[in-house]
Amino acid sequence: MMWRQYLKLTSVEFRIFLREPVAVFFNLFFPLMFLFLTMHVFLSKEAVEQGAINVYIPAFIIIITTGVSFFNIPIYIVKYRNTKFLKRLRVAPLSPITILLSLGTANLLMLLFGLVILVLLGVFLYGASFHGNLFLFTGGLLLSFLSLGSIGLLIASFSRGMRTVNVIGQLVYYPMLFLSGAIPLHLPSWLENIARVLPITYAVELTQRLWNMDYFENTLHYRWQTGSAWIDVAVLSAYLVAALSIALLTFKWE
Amino acid sequence: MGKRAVIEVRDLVKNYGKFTAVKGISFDVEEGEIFGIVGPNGAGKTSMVECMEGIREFNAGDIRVAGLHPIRDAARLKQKIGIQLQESQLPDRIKAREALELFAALYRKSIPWKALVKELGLEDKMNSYYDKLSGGQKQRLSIAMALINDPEIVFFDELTTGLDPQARRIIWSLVENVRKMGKTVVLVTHFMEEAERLCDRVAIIDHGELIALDTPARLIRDVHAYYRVSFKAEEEIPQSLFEEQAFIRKLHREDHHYDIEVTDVVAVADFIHLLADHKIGFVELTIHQPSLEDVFIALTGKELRE
Repeated sequence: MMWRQYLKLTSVEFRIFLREPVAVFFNLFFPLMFLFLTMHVFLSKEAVEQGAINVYIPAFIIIITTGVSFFNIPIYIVKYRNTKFLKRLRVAPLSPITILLSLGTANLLMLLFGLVILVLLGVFLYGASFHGNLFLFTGGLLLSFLSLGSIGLLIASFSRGMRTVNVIGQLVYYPMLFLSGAIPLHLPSWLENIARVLPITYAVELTQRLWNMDYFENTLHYRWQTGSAWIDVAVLSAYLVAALSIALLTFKWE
Repeated sequence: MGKRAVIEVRDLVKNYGKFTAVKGISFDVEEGEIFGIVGPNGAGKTSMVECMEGIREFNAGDIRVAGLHPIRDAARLKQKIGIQLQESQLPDRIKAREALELFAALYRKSIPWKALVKELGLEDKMNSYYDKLSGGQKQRLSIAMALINDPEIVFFDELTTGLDPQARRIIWSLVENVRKMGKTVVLVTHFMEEAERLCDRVAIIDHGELIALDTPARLIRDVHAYYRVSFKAEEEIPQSLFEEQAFIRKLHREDHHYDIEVTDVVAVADFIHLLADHKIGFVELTIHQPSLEDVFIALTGKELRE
């Protein structure tokens, strides 16, 4: 019963997302634009030849994850709350957990959709190749999504109207985007210190590690690296637990 | 009367902080009736109904809906009731068909929605996005969603608010059909004409209190609301003509405009005969039949307007 409800709600949600051109643009094509800019404008020819694509593909996957988490998740929750659609779902015999899981899954599907396009383009245009363990990589990506997605849920909890959601989303999204190391920028050291606090930085690093595994250490030297993937996992888990508990405690259905 | 009560509300109290929205209301809703809950905006109607639906916890009193406690037996109750929420919208980009399929999948039991959709005149709209539907079509879809689980009791909250008169009439006949299906309907409205036209019994709520509960006809009779005849006379009418007539209760005159209150519908006819007998020409004749609106004004001393 719960399973059927979950599948049905998830599939309807996912179809609704795909029909929203703005969401599709920001979540899927915006990261692709960064990919092209990075490969043709930002990076030196030398770096490209050394295989920089394998550092930036995982980073851009995290950009998609961040877009889905900070825009799609809170925007739809606030929209559904304000139009009383969440309340309508709640008066049906449907558990709140099913509703939130479905919303989360539909957003994860949105992320996977963007990931597939990005990876295919990376492989065919720039010869990207995967050097990790698929199982570990999926786990790391899922943790990154849950961690960033919980922050999205938190944004939804603290936003009343659509305008607030958009402003908060942009205030969080763009700085994180530029500070995370996902885009090749040379940052002054005080900004680097700020970057070390942001969850997205750890998500970028974790997926880069897991995409490349040991290969990563020997290729491009990344700005700064934590000692091990476990630090990334620990930081992301801490964000997940903190954001999710506050978000669930403060969540408003109407 | 004497029918089985499917909803029992006893001394219901609902507080929001220091504000008491529902102040100890009791009533029964009988099986198969359309039960109206009317009152001005902010009277506590929606709070009351949401307590019955199990959406809101209440502070005191007791409720049984289909024999179930709305909070303790919420899971079982939800399977047995159908709800249309006030001002609830679906996502813009959901198709009508998808909405029905979705809600059908949420219940243990659901009826084939094709027949339902035909009955509601929505069969051409099944592939339309929600935001492309008119207000009336959206409300018809919300009726379909409320009926999808073949509920025993259906709650409609401000079903026709914001609709044009024609769309409103279509919805009214659909609500009557819901009763014909053997379902009990609880209809919340601040629209008196709607309650009078549809409801078997009406509870009038004001400031969180139940101020009257009866059939519309008896409510109107009991508050002694009168028929009003207004017209413009083509010539001066001698005052003495009206003084002898027992059925005239009140007379208001301004130049040639007359506004007269008479006891009942027979008196309206008598009065028009009287004018005809004395060969008094008149134009712009309107007859105002007493309505629930008058009952409301008589009971609360205020107008009820949107």
